[in-house]
Amino acid sequence: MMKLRKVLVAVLTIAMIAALSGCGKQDNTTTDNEETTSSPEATATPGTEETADTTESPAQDLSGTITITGSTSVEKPLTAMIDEFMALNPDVTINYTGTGSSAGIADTLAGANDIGTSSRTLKSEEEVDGLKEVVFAYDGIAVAVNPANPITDISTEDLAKIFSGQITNWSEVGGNDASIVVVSREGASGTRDAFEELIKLEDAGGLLEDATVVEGNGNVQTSVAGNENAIGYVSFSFIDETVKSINVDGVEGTPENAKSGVYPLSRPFLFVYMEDKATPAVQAFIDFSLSEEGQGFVEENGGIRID
Amino acid sequence: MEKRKRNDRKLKDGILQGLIYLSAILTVTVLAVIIGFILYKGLPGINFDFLTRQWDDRTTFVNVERKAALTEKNDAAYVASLGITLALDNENIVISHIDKDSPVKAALNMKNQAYVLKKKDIITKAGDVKIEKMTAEEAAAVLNEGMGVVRIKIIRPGGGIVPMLVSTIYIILLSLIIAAPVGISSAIFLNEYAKRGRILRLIRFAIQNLAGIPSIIYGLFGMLVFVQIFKMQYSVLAGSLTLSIMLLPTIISTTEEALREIPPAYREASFGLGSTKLQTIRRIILPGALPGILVAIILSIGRIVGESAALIWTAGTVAQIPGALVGSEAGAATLTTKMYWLIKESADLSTASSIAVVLLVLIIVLNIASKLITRVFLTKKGMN
Amino acid sequence: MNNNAYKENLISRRKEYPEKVFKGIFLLSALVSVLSVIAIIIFVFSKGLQPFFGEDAYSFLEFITGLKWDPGNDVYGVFYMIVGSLLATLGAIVLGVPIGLLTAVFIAELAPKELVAFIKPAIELLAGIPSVIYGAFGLGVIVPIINEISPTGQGESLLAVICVLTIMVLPTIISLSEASIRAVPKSYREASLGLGASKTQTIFKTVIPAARSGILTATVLGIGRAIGETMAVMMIAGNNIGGLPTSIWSKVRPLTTNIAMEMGYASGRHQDMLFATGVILFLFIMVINITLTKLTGKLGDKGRSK
Repeated sequence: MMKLRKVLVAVLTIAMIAALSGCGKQDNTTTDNEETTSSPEATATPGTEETADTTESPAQDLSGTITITGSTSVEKPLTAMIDEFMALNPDVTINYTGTGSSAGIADTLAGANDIGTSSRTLKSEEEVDGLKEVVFAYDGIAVAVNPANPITDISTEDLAKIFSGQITNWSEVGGNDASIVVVSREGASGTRDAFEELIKLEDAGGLLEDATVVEGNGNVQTSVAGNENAIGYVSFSFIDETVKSINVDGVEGTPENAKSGVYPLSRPFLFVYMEDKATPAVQAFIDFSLSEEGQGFVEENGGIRID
Repeated sequence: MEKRKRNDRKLKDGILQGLIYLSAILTVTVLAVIIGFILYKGLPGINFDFLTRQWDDRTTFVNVERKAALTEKNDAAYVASLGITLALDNENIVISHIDKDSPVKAALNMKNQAYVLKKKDIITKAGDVKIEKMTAEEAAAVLNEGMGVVRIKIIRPGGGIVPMLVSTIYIILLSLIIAAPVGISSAIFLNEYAKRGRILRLIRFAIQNLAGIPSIIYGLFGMLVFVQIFKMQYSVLAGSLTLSIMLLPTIISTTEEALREIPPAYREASFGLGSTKLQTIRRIILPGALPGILVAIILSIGRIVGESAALIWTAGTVAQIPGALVGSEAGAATLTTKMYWLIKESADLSTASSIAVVLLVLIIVLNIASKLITRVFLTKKGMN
Repeated sequence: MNNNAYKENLISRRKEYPEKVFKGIFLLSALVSVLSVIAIIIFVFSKGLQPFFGEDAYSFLEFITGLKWDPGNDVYGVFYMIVGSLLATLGAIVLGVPIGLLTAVFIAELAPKELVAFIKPAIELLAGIPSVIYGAFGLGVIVPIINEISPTGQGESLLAVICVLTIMVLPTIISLSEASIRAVPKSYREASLGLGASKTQTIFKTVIPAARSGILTATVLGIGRAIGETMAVMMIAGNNIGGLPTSIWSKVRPLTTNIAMEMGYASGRHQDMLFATGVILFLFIMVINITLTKLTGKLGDKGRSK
């Protein structure tokens, strides 16, 4: 009896596994089918070689998938470049997921992506043999206040004092008599790391405990746009009419000033990748990002060219 | 004295009744305000393009074989050799009209596959000439120059929710394929086979626990197990597996309720006729419980459509039609996760609200569907 | 038909095998739930407890009593989050239960049929609205209002969280309370009215006490929903990195939002600590679930013995 039961259990388990895997296979094929019917351009037609005059077409036939993860601040220029690169090389698929600089670098070190992006410089413990970093753009971090706020200029020292909670009223920096609402980003955000480093917040005692912490550049924008007394920081590319960017140390936050180094809050945008694992496609994409054309996309999307 | 007491009572009754009415009004008002807010913010953004386009702008290079002037038109923005008319729209050069026999209908992309140009496609480059900042007439002149094959850079504008709609449907189907058989079988076991005892109590406790676990914990679990340990990456399958566990309690309890509704006399009659238990389940119980099972599935769909915390870190937030079940091409944002992403990354409450309008419509449709099924079921039962 | 049954009876032995196979399949399916719970507990707990053991362990006491969360400096304290979660839940229940209960009374006892036909679908809709939409509503409507009236000048606050959570627990409380009110036998009401009580008195002195088990269950389920809510709360809580809330205008960082905010980004110990936060949350949910089991069991018996 016991034996019979054991056999039964074994048979059942096998049956279940078979049924499950059968299920999996089946819907696998159905999805594939739907996919091909819904987007004809994705179908691989083994056809004639390209004969048209393709002056711009890349020298080698690149193919494969490139996975990019990391900083969310690089999104606008990066997706523009990806878009163009994929149009030029239809056999290459590039997936970009914004996960934050630290995660992007960690993914690269763990081999979980092909390229990691970072919007801050590498920390010493992240600099590993074989890890290559390429600066593909510079970015300024804008200090954003509500358009109704009369303040136009602030020093980095005052910024540190505001974000650490030593200055709590706008009147102390020449504004209205109103308490300052500090908006910061979630931990592990590259923008937050870079900002805190640039204003030397650690020396001032670290971020004010009671600061509002929100996820993503967009939420900072919403919070500052919705509160007259708020102050936050976002990447240059996120400044629009809903928030006002103020001068830092008397310097206007423009790409030119950030590029020349006069504007104090600027940082590099980095690609990091393992040199020995870089496929031709990865290499080609990085070359493209540094080319005249790639840099054009950086400029169009609020970033600062490297040259 | 008596009178005062009675007056007191009246006053008390009045106050309590007032509170009851106030609460009911408050509840309904809150709903009205939420829906009003969503409609106010979101309705302006809903149009045909929003419902039918891809999310991302898509850039493509196409080669088009120019023909000798097909028809001449007295329009400077008309490109005779390509049979298209250009127009300026939001500072972009777009195709505003395509002739029936236009060669752009036979355009080929860089892989030599057909890529038919459509109205509203934006042209930014013809050959090596950037035409982005030109007027429609200047651009037409550039395109008209020369003979033979011309290479055009086309941007097909996005801004639509098609990828999220498709991803949502994929995740619904996959989750249900996994969860429905397991859930329904569980309910059959619990209602038809299980005897009171430790196993039954254990299973019931487990189901109750599953129902109580917040979706963020499912998200943590799914990310750790499916995305990281099983290396599925952010994918439709990882998301669906996570959701299918989450759906089990709903499916099990709703199905069980339906099974319980079937009178024991039916079972007895079936056994009396010599049917085995399995035959009874197949021929009597399952057909009878079908409406209940359908309701369970509809409730599950509603949950999937509304879920965000369990999906963001398992299926990702990439707006694409997933090309595989797992791996780097399988990431899929559903309508709800994309809505959250929009608020978070681009402070775009309006587009987020437009997606919310679509979600509300879906949920209303699902609610009505489950009502209808229950009603049909009830009238049928009445006839029996 | 009879003939068939006879035939099938004859070959019942051959039929026995599939009978057993399917019984096994049904049993296995039912065990999937058990396995899932066990798997969730094992994975979440093992990762969440990792940082507190071995070399370079983080003190669990510091974790559970800490008032600051600063992953950049290796400081992980969740006590202020626990307080925030509990206060937000308490607030939502204190507001949500009376409003929900009275609405349920209205639907079950006072409202004319036509009105019920309108209100019930509305409440079902309220239950079906995704939490992200509640969050968007909180961000677009509630936060700006509190911006105007708060002495701190900031909308993201405990109060905003309580407002949104109250709305979110309403459907649960209303539908369960309504069902249990309707389940109270008519004879109770008739007896009360017969003794000269007014309709309102009957409702509050007879019907509600008789329906209390359902109402309590609804309350506990509401607590579960409120403490586990994530996305809606994350957008409006303020998510401060430290410090206990001192008033309803204070910012809070509930346990759930702490996980959700940094989950996509974290790695290493930081990520483990998010799982540890999940463990704490899980423990709360377990307490709620056990209460629920005890509650439904006990009160159910009482109701029967009456």
